[in-house]
Amino acid sequence: MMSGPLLALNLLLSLASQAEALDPVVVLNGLELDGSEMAFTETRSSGLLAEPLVVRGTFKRDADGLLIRETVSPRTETQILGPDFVELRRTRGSRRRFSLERAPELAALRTVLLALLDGQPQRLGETFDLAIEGEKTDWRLTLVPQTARVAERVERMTLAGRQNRLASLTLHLSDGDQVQTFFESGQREPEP
Amino acid sequence: MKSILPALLLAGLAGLAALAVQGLDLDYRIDAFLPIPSNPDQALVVDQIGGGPGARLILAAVEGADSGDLASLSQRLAQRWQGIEGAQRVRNSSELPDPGTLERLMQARFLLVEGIEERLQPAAMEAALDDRLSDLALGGRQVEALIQRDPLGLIPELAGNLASANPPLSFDGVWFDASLQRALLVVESAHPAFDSEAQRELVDKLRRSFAEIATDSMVLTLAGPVLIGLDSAEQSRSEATRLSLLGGVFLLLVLILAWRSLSLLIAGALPLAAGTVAGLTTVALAFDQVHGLTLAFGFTLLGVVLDYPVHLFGHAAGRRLDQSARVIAGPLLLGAASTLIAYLAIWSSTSSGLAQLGAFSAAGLATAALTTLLLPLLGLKPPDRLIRQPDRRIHQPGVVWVAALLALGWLIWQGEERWSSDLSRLSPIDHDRLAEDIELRQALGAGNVGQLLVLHAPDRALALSRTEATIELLRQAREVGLIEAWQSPIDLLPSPSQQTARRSAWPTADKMELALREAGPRFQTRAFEPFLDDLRALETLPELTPEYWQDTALAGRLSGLLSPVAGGWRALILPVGLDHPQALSDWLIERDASARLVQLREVSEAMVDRYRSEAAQRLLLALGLIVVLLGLRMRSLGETLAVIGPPLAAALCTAAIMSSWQQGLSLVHLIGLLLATGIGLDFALFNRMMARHGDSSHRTRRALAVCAISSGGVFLILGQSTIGMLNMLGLTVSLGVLLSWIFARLLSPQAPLR
Repeated sequence: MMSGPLLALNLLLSLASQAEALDPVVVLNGLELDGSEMAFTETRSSGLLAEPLVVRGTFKRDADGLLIRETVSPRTETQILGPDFVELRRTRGSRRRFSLERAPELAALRTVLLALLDGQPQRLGETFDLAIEGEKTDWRLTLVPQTARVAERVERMTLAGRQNRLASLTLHLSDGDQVQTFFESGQREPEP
Repeated sequence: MKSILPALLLAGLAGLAALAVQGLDLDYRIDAFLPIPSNPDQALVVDQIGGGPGARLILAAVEGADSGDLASLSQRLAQRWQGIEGAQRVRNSSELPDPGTLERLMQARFLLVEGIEERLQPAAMEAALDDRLSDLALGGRQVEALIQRDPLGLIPELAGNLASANPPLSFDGVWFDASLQRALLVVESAHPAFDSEAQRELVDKLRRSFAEIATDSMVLTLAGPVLIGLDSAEQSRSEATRLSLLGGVFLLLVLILAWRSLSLLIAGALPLAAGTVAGLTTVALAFDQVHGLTLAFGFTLLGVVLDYPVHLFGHAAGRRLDQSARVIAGPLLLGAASTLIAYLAIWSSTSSGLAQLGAFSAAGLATAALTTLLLPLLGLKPPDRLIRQPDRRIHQPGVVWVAALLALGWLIWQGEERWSSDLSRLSPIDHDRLAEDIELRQALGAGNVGQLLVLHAPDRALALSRTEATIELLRQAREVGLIEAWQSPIDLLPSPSQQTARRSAWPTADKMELALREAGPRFQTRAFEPFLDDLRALETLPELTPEYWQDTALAGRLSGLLSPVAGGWRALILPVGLDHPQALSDWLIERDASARLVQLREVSEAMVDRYRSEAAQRLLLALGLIVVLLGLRMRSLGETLAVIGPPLAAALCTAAIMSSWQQGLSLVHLIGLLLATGIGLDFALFNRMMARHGDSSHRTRRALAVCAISSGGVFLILGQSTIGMLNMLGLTVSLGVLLSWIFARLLSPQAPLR
């Protein structure tokens, strides 16, 4: 059983640590990332749909620096994000490639996720202005794009986490649309 | 003071010639020098060389900054250039074209897609709507509008079919070369390829517009058929001018040394000037448009008349000019008449360029010969010096005949190697320029369209349905690996019967609404209203025709693949990934396909072959006529042979040497040989007819030496050109003249008659 003075000391120490300002770079560097891949669940709402769309899948990176987004829901599909293109590989063997020119949000997403998957989150400071709020046990890191072309579509992105675990990424688009992506540790089992 | 009258005359003639050239409608198309195509394949080659959409392309590359800056400049440039009058279309990316074109495509999509019944199966509809869910999952609100209008995904599919099979690298959505050093753009000019004035104006506007927005470090390179056309016009003009000036100075020096008289020098230019005016007038009266090369070649062929005053003044040394004119009239007119026969033979050619050349030279030659004989009327003072040299007569006829036989044997032994059928050698374009163009084309993935599937039909509908039947066969060919892909006119314009079939395969909007609801329960009920509106509009959409695509970015693509020709319509299918053309060709023939594979290079070579053999036949006929003419005049077989021998032997030897030296004889070599033979014939005639008359033999030898040095020298100077054509011509003529001179001397009569 803890003695009174010891309890008081502990309390003081924890208060002191809370008062200490969070440094975005320190938090990013401290993230424990699995490395090769990240399972995710994403929700999207759309006026065309009766109810919001839930997307499940995995983010991976390949040796050539391409970001691979494999979804199992709403359907099995592979999306490959390159420096300036996105390639869709659907069942039935169809392959289609589009330019990322008109979808800068995907390019921004690619930058963020590749930095995380590469285990070099500090790289984010090069393309985004970083600001952090909250405390070590529950923080939110805001990324504001530095290039005008991206900023036209993406207002900001928010990474949220607890301690050294990344919990979610929210994409705030300029038209008010929001895309929330939750990360889970480990690889997702394909759904039946 | 004696030189005033000839100078005035010369100035007047020069003024007339300048006026005539100004007034001529010159064009620099290579196809004017081709014969009239004798079959549809040849017509295709001529079309592709001359006026196809490919011939109106300007390729642009911008370098000198980092890729990001180049990309944004490329975007601004494309926008500015699109606004320039005369630029029909500017492209710098593989993205779908302007909204107007997209809207046309959207309206026509129901008639352009295949397999409608399969698409309408419940399972296929479900799969399509699942794809749209995936699009939403990736693209969010941005793709909502497209999904509402195109739930079955017809547009991305059509766009995929229409996209270039091998697009260039893209950076920031803009075309780049493989090294990302140069941003690439393509401009399609609205002007016809041969309208060099309008093209020049457009190119200047493009350059100015670039200069207004580019930074100092950025460099714009323009290439492509249009630029090549302009460059060849300009380059041949400037280089030909430079070399002609050099040649002219050389000629003046030789003649001043020979005659030592300014008035003779000026008067000596009169026959050429009068011949030029007569030639230009004849061509302008007989033909609509004059090819630039006609003038260049025509002046060259007129070179033979430069010798006429040399003969006149040469034989006047020590006597009156009119006496001299009487003396030389015989051989001069005989030589001129013989050469005239050859030029008239060229005039009868089926190629408008060659016919013009023949007309120009024939009229010029006849006028120059008569003018020469009229020169004594000017009251000129003849050169008074007659230098008597020791009579070094060489009579070695055997050498001439042996040389002729050896050359003939060598030409026969070479077989087909002696000819060169490369069409590009006829073009006045510098080969480095061509290499630059090819490099930029490859970077753009534009490629050289060397192989085409061609079919003909009496009307458009039939041409299209035959294309459809051919595409069916190509699908089977793709399965056995004979071909990878293709572009055809039915991508944009299905046959009328196909359109009707597709139109009736689509259900009514009400039925479609129901089917969509069943296939995609996760979508809102009225999510696809815009698509249903389009489907309703299909009922009133008129049948697609080429006019439907007019003024869109796709118009050029269609008109390049489907065009009216003599006797009906012609459809082209461009094969992609065709590694074994012969195999596909055989495969199509076995299946009785209506389309045939045409290899443009083979056809163009066959055409050049036929062309050359036509020219050769005419010249042989002319040779026969010349022999008859000479025989009638000389009244002895031996004398006729002695006259015809030296030029003929010289022509054979020159042909043998040039064919080995310059990888085969082209049409240009033949023209050069013709000129050299004409000059050589004069040499032989003078040598034979004049040498027997005492002092005349001295005069003749001297005059011939001056002729050989002046003509041979001038053409040797032209032969230094980097323009392939001038180089071939100059070297051929100078060698031919030199050999003619030597051979004529070797065949001199044994002893002069005293």
